[in-house]
Amino acid sequence: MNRNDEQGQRTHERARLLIAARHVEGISAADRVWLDTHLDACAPCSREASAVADAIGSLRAAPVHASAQAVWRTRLAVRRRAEELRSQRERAVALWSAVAIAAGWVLLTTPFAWWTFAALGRAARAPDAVWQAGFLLWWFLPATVLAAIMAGRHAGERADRSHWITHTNWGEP
Amino acid sequence: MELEQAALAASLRGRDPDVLDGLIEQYQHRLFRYLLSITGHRATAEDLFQETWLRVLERGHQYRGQFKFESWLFGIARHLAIDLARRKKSGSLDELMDPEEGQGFVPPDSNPSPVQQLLDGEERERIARGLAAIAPAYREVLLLRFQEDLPLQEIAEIIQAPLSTAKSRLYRGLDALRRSIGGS
Repeated sequence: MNRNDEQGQRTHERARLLIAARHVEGISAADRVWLDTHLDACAPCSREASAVADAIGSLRAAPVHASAQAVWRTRLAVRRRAEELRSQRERAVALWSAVAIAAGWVLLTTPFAWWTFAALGRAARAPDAVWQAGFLLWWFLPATVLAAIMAGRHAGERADRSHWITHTNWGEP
Repeated sequence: MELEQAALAASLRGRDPDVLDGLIEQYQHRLFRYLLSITGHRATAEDLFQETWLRVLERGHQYRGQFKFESWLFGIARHLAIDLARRKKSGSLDELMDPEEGQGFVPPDSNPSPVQQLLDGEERERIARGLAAIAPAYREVLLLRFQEDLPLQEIAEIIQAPLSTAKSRLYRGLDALRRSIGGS
């Protein structure tokens, strides 16, 4: 290969690199002028430039769309999940509130309740086991009541949610 | 733009399904195209499409608005696709998306061809065949660059690779695309 051939080869190689670079990351104004001049004079490189432009044009034109059914299913799933998350959050807030109230109740009332139950037991001449059982019932009362309330609310919410999901018009395609 | 992203981030923290509805409407085709480009399989892309939006709902509070929403969205979709591929194959994560290791993640399918299923007509079929012949890692960057018109930096962020890798995949992908569609 003589010197002229080598130089010609390098010129074509540079042109090929610039053809791709123009689309991938852009090229400088000077490179653009050089490339356009070269393409005007070189048929193979010009064909290469057209082939690359056509390939990109084809890619841009490829009409790929999500199906209406898939989009609809996704929307429904998102709404269901959002509702689940909302309900979980509300339950968590209610649970921690109940725990806080019950803990506060226990801390504040235990000594007085114990003293009161003991006094009542003595006054009624009841055996210790009886007033102590009464104390235990009293002690567990707030947590039991709150748990019952929350269980009732949870059951009601599940029924509401199921009704809402079944009867809402989701615009199925 | 940043204000819009910040407002969107605040809305996502509220997990409002109406906000998600709007986003699904806006990004449905772009996200689906992207998922199809990396999975090469319509049913898988549809499953991941749903998974991605559920993840957006659950992890919406993690979007800070520092990136464009679509970059974050595509990042989630990509993670889910790789997780799925990892569950289906025993190979390493690198292998799954490495163009040098063959076709990467294309789930087994008895139907005619993956991307091809979407398109009809002679010209479309030619494009589909050409795209299906390209390794997913190349298809992914080609789509992000030429269909989504994303800048190189964002592409690198989505594919979690250095800018130089994103560029090199684009150059190789473009060459593969030209050969496979142009047939030279």
